[in-house]
Amino acid sequence: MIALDHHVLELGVRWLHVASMALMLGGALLLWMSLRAPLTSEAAPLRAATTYEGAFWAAAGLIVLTGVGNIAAFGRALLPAETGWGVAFLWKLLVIVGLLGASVVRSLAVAQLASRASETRSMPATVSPTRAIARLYGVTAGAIALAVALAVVMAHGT
Amino acid sequence: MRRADLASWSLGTFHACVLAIALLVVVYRLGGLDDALAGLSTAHGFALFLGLWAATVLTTTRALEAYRRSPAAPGGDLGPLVPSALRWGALNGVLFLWYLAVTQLVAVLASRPRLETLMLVPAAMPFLTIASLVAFVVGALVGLVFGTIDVQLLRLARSVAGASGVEVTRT
Repeated sequence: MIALDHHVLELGVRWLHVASMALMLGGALLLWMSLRAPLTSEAAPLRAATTYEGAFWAAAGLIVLTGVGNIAAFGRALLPAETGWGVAFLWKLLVIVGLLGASVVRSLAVAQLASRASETRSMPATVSPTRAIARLYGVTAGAIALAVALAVVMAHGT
Repeated sequence: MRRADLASWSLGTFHACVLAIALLVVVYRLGGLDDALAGLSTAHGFALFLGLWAATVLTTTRALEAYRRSPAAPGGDLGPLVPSALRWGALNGVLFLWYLAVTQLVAVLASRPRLETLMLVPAAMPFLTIASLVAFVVGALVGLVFGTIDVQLLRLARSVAGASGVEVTRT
């Protein structure tokens, strides 16, 4: 069996955690900006959104996976829930659960719009569904930014 | 295995992540998280979550497929999704328990590769059977909770997409 240096493994887990967050945040900001602009065709942004949604959930799973790994790295030095760190940690988890719940709604709505677009080969004249989804991408980016801010609080003390 | 569509992939991953976070919060609030994680290597922890994730996406895909085949689906009635989630949630509980048992056996064999270790497997079978029944019931309850939440999320998604009927689409 290959013996992997403990610190290299920890660094790899943290890198994957941050890279997953960057993918989620960057993609959400890009789609928020793309879908807010006047659209001549909704097919291309919807294709991009569908691809993003698939990647978003892969990154979400990796965030949770590596997040538990990051917590495990604290070992016995893990601070209890009553401390400032513990409160920030619990708030971060709450924000993530809210983000995931809102993201399911967004993903399912994108799936429905993409399905309708492929069936009719054109979108309805009104652009309200994609405007609503654009708002959800804005909310997604805001929630991720909040989780990042809480992560900074946890890393540098309260 | 068929590739999961976006609805199954998003809902399945959502279930696995929320389940893991809920468990994490409960153990942390009880004060036993450092002990629980100390007894788990990084590789073992990763294998556990990846197993839960894969089993949950697989069973969510099957639950949505069963719903899509139901007579109520074309009319947009989401009611049959809940019993479907309950059934596949029960199976998910059993699948994950067996996955846990196999990963535990592999971990023990890796550290102590002896024939005596394998001989313990038949002796463990009665316990595994009883544990499977418990996992079946717990899985069904978790499936029921998530099925109920999913119905609300699908309704919200319909209103966002401006759909006239509920579509649990394969995209």
